[in-house]
Amino acid sequence: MNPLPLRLVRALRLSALLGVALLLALWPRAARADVELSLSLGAREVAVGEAVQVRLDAMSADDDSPSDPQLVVPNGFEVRGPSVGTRQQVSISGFSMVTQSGISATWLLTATRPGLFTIGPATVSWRGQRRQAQVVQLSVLPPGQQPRARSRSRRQAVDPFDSFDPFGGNNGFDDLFDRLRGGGSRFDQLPAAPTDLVPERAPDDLAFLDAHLDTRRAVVGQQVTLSIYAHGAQGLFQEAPGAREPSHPDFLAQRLVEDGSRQPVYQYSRSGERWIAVKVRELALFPLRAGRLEIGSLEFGFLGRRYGARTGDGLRRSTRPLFIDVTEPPQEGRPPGYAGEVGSFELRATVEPRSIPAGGSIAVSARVKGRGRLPGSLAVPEQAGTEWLEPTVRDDASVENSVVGGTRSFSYLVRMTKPGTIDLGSLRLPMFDPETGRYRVASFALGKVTVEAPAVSAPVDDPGAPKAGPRLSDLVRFRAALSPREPDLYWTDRALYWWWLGLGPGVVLGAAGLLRLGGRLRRGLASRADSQATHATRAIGDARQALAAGTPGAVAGAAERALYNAIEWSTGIKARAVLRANLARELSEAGMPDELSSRVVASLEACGQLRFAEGDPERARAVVDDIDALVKQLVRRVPRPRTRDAEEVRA
Amino acid sequence: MSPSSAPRVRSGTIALLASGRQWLAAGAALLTLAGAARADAPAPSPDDLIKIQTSLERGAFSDAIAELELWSDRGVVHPDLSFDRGVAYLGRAESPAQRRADLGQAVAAFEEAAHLAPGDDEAAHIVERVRTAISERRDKRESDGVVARPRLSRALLDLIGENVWAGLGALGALALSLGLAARFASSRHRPRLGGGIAAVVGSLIAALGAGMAYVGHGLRTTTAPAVVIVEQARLQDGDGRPIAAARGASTLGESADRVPEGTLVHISGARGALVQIEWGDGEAWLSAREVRRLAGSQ
Repeated sequence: MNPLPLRLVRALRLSALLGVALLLALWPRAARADVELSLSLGAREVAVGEAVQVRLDAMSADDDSPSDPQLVVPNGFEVRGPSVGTRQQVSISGFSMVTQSGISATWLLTATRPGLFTIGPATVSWRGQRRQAQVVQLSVLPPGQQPRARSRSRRQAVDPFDSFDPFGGNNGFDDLFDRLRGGGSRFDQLPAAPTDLVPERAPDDLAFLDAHLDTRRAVVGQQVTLSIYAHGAQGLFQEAPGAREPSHPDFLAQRLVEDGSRQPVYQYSRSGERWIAVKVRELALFPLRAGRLEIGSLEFGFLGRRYGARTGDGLRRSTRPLFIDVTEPPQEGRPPGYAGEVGSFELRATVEPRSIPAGGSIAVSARVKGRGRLPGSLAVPEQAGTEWLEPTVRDDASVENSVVGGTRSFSYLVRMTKPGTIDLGSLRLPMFDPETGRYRVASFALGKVTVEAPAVSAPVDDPGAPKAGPRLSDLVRFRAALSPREPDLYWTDRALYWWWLGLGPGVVLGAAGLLRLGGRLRRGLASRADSQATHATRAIGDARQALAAGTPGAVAGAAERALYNAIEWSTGIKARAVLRANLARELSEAGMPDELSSRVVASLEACGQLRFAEGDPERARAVVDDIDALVKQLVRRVPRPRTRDAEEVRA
Repeated sequence: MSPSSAPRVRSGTIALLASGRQWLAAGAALLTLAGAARADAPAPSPDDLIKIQTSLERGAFSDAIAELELWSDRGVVHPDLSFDRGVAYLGRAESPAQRRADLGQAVAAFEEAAHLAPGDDEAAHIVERVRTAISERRDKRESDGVVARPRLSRALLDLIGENVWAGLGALGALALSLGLAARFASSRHRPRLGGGIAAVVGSLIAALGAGMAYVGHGLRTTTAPAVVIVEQARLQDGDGRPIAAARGASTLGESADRVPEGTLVHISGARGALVQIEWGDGEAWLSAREVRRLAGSQ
C-alpha cells in the first residue's frame, strides 16, 4: 500500500483545522441566539431599614433588544425602580467577535421586615415573549442587627489600591510602602488631606478610625451623613474581612460609600510621620423617630505587613458610638396632608389626553425632583367622578456631594366617570425643608379635562356608586358644629371622695367614742361629788362654821362625821358601827398604821368629850384642827375598794 | 395717733387690702386663662368645619382627612371632631380612593368619639358596624386573627362604669355610717340590730364599690386605649421578636399571634418603637406604628 502523499496529508490536516475553526466561530452565535439574563444583588444580607440594589442584566446578541423589565418582590420590601439603562458589550469568543446589546435594570429594595426572602424571578420582554432570570435569596436581619460578615467578608480582602492605584501602578501595598520609605517623592504626589479631615491629635500611633457626622441636630426624615475615614501611619493597608458595621436601628440607611477602593487617598504629615487617610464608609442616615439616637461603632481591620498582619482579622480599630438629637418637624406652620417628607423638591406633571369619553382614563405623569429622601406619595386631588389608581413609581436616585436626591416619577391612571369639563385640581407635595426650617407645599395644577357623555345611554359603571344595601358612610353624618363639651369628671380623681369613704364612718365612730367618754367623765364626777372624801371635807367645813357660830355641840358632831367619812374613804370601814375599843385594831387590820389609827381613836374620843365641854372654844378649835389634819391625811390615802358594813365587821 | 386720724389709716389699710385682693384676683384669673390656653388648643372655627364638609361632599376625602388630622396633631380634642374624622375615613374606605388602613382609622376615630363622650350612642353603634364590616372582609380574604378576652376587672368596668362603682362605694360608706350611728345612738334592741346589719352590709358594699373604683382609676391612669389600624398586627415580645406563645395552646396556628384591624387594645407601656399592651391576662408588644392611641386618654 502506498502511503498518502505528504501534500495530501497536509491538505487534510488544514481542512480539519479550518472545520474546527469554523465550528468554533459559529458555535457561540448559535448558542447565544437567545437572551442572557442575570439577576444579582448588591448584598446577600441586610438589616431592616437598609436598602439593597437588585440588578438585572438582559443581553441579546441580535438586534432585538430586551425591554420591559419586571421583578417579583415579596411583601416586606419597599420597592423603587426600575431604573433602566441600555448596554452594549463586545467580547471575543473563539475566533469571532460577539456584539451584544441589551438593558440593565436596577431596583432599590428597602427591607421592612426580617426573614429569608426569594427575590425574583425577574423577567424581560423579548421577541414578544417573556424571558425569566433565576431567583436570588436575600436574608434580612431584624433592625439593629448588623451582619457580622457581609458579602464583603466572604470575598477576598479589599485593597483600596487594587482598583485605584494613586500612582498608576499595581504593585501592592508592601511594594508601595517600600517605595515610600525609600524616596517619599511619590508619596507627595498624593493629594494633601483637607484640613477638616486631619484630626487635632492622633488617637493611635499606628492607625485609627475617625467618624464624622455632618450635623448633630436633625428632624425626623432629614438626611444625616456619617463619614468614616481610616487613617494609617504605616503605609497602605487593606480592609480585613469581618468588619462590624455601625448599628443604626433608628435610621433608614443608604450606603454612599461601601469601601475605600474607589475613594481618593489623601496624605498628611504629623510629627514627622507620614499618614494616609481614605474614606472607608459613608452612609446617608434618615432618622425614624425623635429622641437622642445612637449610631453604633464601626470595627475595622487594617491589614498589611506594617500593621502587624497580612491575613486574618488585621489590626482592629473601631469608632466611638455617636449620638444625634432628633426632633419632630415643628407643629407651627404644618400644612394639611403633611406626611413627613423632608427635603427640597420640585413638582411637575403632564396630563394626557385632555378629552376622553366617560368611563375612560387619562394618564397623569408627575415628576418630583430634588434633594432628600424621595417622597413616597403625592397628595392627589380626589373628587367625585375621578378614580386615581395606584401609581407606577420609577426612580432615578442620585447622590450629589454626599446628598441623596434624584427624581421620582409617579405615573397615575385616572378613570373619569362623570361627564363634563372637570377641573382636576392640583397635585400637592407638602414638605419640610431643613435648610430653611420651614414648611413648603410644592403643587402643580393639572388643568381641566373634558369628559364626553357616552353616545349610548348605557349606565356608566361608577365604582363610587352605592352598591346594594346602604353603605356604612350613609349611616353617619358629618357634624358641622361642635357641641359644647363637658369635661370628664371622675369621682375617684377627687381627694374628697376618698375622704368621704373614710370620714363618714370615722365621724360616727369618733362621735360615739366621745359620747361614751363624756358619760364616763360625768359619772366619775358625780361619784366623786358623792364620795366620803367629799363628805368629810364638807363636814370639816361645817365644823368650822359651827365653831365660828359658837356651838360646840354642832362642832363635835360635824368633826366626828368628817372623821367617820374619812375613815370609810380610806379603809372602807364604817367606823360608827365598830366598838370604840375595837376600832384601833380594826383600822390596823385594814392597813392603817398603828400610830395613825391611835390618833383617829384619840380624836374620836376628843370629839365625845367636846360634846360635853361647853364654853371652851379654844379646845374646840384644837380638836377641829387636829381632825382636819387627820382627814386630809386619810383622804390622801388610796381609797379601799370595798366598804365593809358593820355586820361584816362584827362577823 | 390722734383719734381723728385712726379711721383714715384704717380706711387706707382696707383700701390697700382691697386693691391687693383685686390684683391677686386679676393674677389668678390671668393664670387660669393661661393654663386654660395651654390645656386647650383653639378649636376649628365653623368656617373650617364647613370647608371640611365641602371637601367631603365633593369626594375629596383625603383633603378632609388631612385637615382633620392636622387639628388632631395640634392637640384639639373633641368628640365631634373625632366623629367627623371617622366619617371622612369611612367615606374614603367606601370610595375608589380607599386605602388599606382606612377602616381601622375609622374605628379608631369613632372609638375615640365614644371614649370622649360616653353617651354618644351613634358613635358606639357605628364602631360596631365598622368592626363587623372589617370582620366580613377578613372572612373573604381568609385572613384571621385573635382578639384576646379582656381582663375580668376591665370587663366589669366596661359593664359598669367607674363612677357607678364609686357611687356604690359612697353609698356603702353612707350605710355603714348610718348603721354605726343607729347602733351607738339607740339603746333599744331593734334599732341596734338594724344598725348592726346596715353597718355590715354597708361595709361590704363600700369595700366592693371603692375597690372597683380604685381599680378603674388605676387602669384609667396607667393605660391608654388604642386601636389597631393595620390589617393584622403581629404580637411581639419585648425585644421585637414575633411571639408564638399562643400556638401551643391553640388550633388557630399563626393567626393566634396576630391582632386584627380595628381591635381595641390598652397600652400599658412603651419602649422604642414598641408599645406594651394588655393581652388577655398577660402582656404583649406591638409595633407603635400599627396602633393609634385614642386622644383624651390620660
